[in-house]
Amino acid sequence: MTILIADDAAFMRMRLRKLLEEAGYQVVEAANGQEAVDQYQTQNPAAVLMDITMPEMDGVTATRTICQADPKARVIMVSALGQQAMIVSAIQAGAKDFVVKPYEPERVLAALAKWAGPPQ
Amino acid sequence: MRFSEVTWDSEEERTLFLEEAWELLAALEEGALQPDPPMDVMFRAAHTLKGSGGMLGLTEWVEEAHRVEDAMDRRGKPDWKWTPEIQKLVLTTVDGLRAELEGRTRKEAPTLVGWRLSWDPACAMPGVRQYQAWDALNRAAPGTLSDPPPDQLAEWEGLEGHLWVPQDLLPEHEVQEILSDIDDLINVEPVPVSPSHDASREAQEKTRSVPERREGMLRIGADTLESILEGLGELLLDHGQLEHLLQDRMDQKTRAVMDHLRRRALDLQDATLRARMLPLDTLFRQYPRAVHDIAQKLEKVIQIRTSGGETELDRVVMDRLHEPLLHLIRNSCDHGIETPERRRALGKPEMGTIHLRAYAAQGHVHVQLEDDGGGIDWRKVRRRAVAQHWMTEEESARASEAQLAQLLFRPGVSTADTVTEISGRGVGLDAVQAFLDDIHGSITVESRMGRGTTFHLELPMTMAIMSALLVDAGPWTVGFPIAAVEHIEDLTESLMGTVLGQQAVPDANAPLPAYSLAELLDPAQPHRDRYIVRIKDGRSQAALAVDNVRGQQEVVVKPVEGLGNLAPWLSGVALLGDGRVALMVDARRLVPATTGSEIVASDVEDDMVLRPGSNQMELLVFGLGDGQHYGINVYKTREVLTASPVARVPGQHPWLDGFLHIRGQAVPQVNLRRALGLPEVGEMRFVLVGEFDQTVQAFPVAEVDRMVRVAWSEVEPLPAVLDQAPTRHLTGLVVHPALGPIQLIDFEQLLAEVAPTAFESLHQPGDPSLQGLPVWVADDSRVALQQMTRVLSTLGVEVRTFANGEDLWQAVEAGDPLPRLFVLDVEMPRLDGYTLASRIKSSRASRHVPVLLHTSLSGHWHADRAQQVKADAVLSKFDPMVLAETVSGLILEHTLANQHTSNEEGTA
Repeated sequence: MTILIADDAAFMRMRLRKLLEEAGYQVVEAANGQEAVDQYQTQNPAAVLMDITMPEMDGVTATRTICQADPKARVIMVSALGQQAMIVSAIQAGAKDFVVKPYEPERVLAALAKWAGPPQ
Repeated sequence: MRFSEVTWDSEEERTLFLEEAWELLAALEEGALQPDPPMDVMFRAAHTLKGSGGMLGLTEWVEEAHRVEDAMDRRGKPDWKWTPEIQKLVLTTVDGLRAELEGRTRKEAPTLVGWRLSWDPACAMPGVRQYQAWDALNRAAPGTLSDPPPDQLAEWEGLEGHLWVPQDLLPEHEVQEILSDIDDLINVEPVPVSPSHDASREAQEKTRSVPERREGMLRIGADTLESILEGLGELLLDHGQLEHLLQDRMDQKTRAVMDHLRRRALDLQDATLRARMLPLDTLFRQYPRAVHDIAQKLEKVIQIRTSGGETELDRVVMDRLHEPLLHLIRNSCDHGIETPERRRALGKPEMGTIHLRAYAAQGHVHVQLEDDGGGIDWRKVRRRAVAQHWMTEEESARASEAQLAQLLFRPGVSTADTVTEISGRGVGLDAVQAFLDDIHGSITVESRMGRGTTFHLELPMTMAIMSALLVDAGPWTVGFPIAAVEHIEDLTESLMGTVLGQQAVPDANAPLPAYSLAELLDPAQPHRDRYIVRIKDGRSQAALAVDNVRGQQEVVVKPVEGLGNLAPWLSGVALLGDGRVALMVDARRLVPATTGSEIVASDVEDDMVLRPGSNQMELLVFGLGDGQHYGINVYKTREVLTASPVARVPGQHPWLDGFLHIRGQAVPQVNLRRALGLPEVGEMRFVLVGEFDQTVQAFPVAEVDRMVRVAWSEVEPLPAVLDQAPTRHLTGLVVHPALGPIQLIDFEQLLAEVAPTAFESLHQPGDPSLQGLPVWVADDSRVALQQMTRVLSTLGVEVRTFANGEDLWQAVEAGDPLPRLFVLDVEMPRLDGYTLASRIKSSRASRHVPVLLHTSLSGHWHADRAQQVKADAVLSKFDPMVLAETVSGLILEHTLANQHTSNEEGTA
C-alpha cells in the first residue's frame, strides 16, 4: 500500500518515510504542492500526508486539486499548531483528517490506519 | 390517488409526512432561488419527496417530483447547466405539491435535537473536529446547526461544542453513529436547550436551508399559552385582592411573601409572553419567493435582502403584518425599482435591491423597507394633489415632502389609474395605514428622487399586555394606553377656557377641546373633575378632565361584548389588582367621537385662548364631501344644526337652496358646493349657521371636524394670478400640522354675490381740508379695496392700498411718510387687523395716527377687542355713507388734536 508524503523539508520526508516503511507501507515523495498533484495522478496512493506550507503550490490548494479530481482521495494534513484555520479550509477542500507537527508516531499511524487501512 | 384521499394509520404518521414534505419543499424552493443552487440538496429533496409520495400511492405527486429529479439527474456533468427553465420547473412543482397539501395543515418547523459534544483536551485543534462533526451531520441532515457556527470554528479552541440536528431528517441513533467516526470526541449527549440566537442565525445564513428556528424542544399550542397567560392574570388578580383584604394587617414577613408572589407571577407572565414571540425571519423568509415571482412577471431583476430577522414579535402582530408588508414589497417592485434597461441607463446596477430590516428599540419593533428604485416623484404627487382638489396649485408647490407623504396614505387613492399617476405609491397605502392604526403602530415614508424609497413601520412588540394610566372618572376606573398619554396637569393650572361654548385648553397649535370623561360615559353620574389628561395618539388628540389619577399599571386587556353600548371608543376591560375592572380607552376612537358634536355659539367673554392682538384666530373646520378641509372663523358662526328641509322661493339666486327656519326666523341657506363649483355628491348632514355682515345665513356642510387655532402669519394669501379673477371665493389657505391644508372661504364675497346690496352713491364732496391727505387701506379682498377706494376718493383723500397687513406694516417700518388715517380689515392673512392696530398703537412713530377697523364680524365683543388694541373706531358693515362720515370725522378730529399737542410741546 502506497502513501504519498508531500513536504518541502527533506528532513521531514526522511523521518516520515522511515516511520512508514518500518510500519510496512510503500512511500512516494513530493517536495511541493504541484509535485504532490502530479505524483497523486501517476502513483494513485492509498493516502496522502500533506504539509501545508510548501513552495509552488501550498498544501490546501494541492488538496483541493486532488480531491476535485478524485472525491474519494484520502488526504491527511500534517500541520504545525496554530494553523487551525488552514486545516478547516483543507477539510472544506476535501481533506479527511489532520495530525499535528511535531507528530507522535502512533498518531500518524492511527490516522493512516483509519483512512487507508493497515499495511498489507 | 390524491393527498386528501390517503388513509392514515395514525395521526403521527400523517404529521410526520407533512412535516417532512414541507421541509423538503422549502429546501427545494430556497435552493432554486439561490444564485448557485445546492444541486445535491435539491436533488435529494426531490428524490425523497418522490419516495415518500410513492409509499402513499400518490401517483400525480410522484410524477411531479420525478420530473424535478430527472431534470437534475445529470447535475455536475460538464454539459449540464442550471437554467431558468429548470428553476421554473422546480418552483412550479413546489407550488403544485404545496397546493396538494394546502388547506390540510399549516407549515411546521422541524424540531431540532441538540447534542453536546465534549472534545479531548489533548486535541490540538478542536475547531477542526467540531467542523468535521457538523459537516458530517449537515451532509446527512441539511439544516444542522453548530454552536459555535461553522465559520467561526477556525478560531475556536473550546472543549465543548453543540450541534442541533433536524429530527425529521436524522434519527438520534444515526446521529450517534455518524459522530462515532469523529476523532477526539470523548463524549456525546443530547441536550434539552435551544440553540442560541447567534448560533442559529449564523448557521441559518450559512446553510440557507434551515427553515424556522424553534423555541425549545416542546411544541405548545397557541391556545395553551393563552390559557397560561390568563391563569397568570388571575393569579395577579388574586394577589391584588389579598393585598387589599390584608392591607394594614400585613406584617413584614407576609409583605415579603406577597411581594415575592407578585414578582414571580409578573416574571412568569413576561416569560410566557416571550414564548409567544417569534423571530421575524418566520415572516421574512416568505418574501424572497414573492419577490422572485413578481420580478419575473415585471421582467425586472430584483433581489431582496433581509437583516435583523432574529428580532422577535408577538405572533398575533406578525400574522397580521404579513399582508401589509407584502403590499409594500409589491409596490417597491412594481413602481419603485426600474426596469433593467432603465437602471443601466441611469448608471445603476441592473439588479434592484430591496432591503428589509428589523430591529427592536424603545419597546417597539421597527421594520424598514428600503428600495434603490426611482423614489417618489413628488412633482407627480403635487400634480395629483391639485387634480384631486386636495390642494391648490400654490399650496401644492409650497407643501413639504412630509406633508405630501401624508397624502399617500389617504383613503380612496387605490385605483390602478392613480397608481401610475403618483408612481404607484398610493396603492392601498390607506389599507396599510389602517392596519397600523389598528395595532397602534405607525408608518412613515422617506424618498429621494432617483435614489429610492424607505418605508418605516413602527409596531408594538406585543398586543397582549399594555401599560396603562389609570384614572377615576365618576364611578368608573378608566385606563389609557400610556403611549397615548401626553401630559397630566392639575385642572386649576391648565388654563381651561371656553371657545364658543366648548371647553378647551391651550395647546401648541390649537386649543384642545376638553371633555369630562365621566360625562362622556354618562352625564347623569356625579363627578368632580380635578385633573386634565392630554391624549395624543397618532393624529388624534384631546384633553380629558378626570376626577383622580391613580398611576401606571401593566394590564391585560380583554375585549368584552356589549361594551360598545356604553361607549364605542372602549377597547375592552382590564382586571385590576384590587378587584376592580378598568374600562380601557381606545384613544384613536375616542377623539373623533368627541369632535363634530354640536357647537353652539355663546358667550366668548371668557375665551382665554384667543386674545386680540395675538394675530391668531379660531377656525371651525368643516367638509363639503370632497375630502378637503374648509375653514370659517368661529366668530362668524353662530351654531351648528342638523340639516333639515328648506322652503324654496320662486326666482331665488341659483346658489340659494331656499330658506331655513330657525326658531321662527327665515335664514337664507347658501349652497357652498354650487358657489365653489364643487361636485354635489354625498349627504350634507349639518348646517352651519353663520352671522356676519350683520346678517344670518345657513350653509349646509357634510361634516364638522373640529376647531383649530391658527396664526394669521401662517395664512397664505392666494397667489396673485388667482386674485385677478373677477370673483374669487377663497381668501387664503393655512396648512394645519394635523389636518393638512385648510381653505378659507371668502364668505363675504359669496354673500355679496348672492345678495348684492344697493348703496346710495355719494354725491356730496368731502370737506375741502381733506383734499390730498394720505389714507392707507389694508384689505385682502380686492373687491373691498375697490369699494373703499371709490368711497374715499370722493372725499378727496389720497388712497394707498395694501393687500394685507404685513405689507402695510412693512411700509410703516420702512419709514414711509405716514398717512393721516389707517383703515384696516380685521381678517387678513399674515397679519390680522387687531395685531396690526396693536402694533401701530404701540409704535412711537405711528401711535398718533388714527386707526379704523372694519370687519364683517358681528357682536359687541368685537368692539371690545377693537378697544383693547386701541383702535379709534370700528365699523362692522360696509356702508359708504357711514364709512365716509367716520373717515372724515377721524381725520379732522385727530388733525385738531395733534395740532393741539404739538402746540403744547412747542410752548414747553
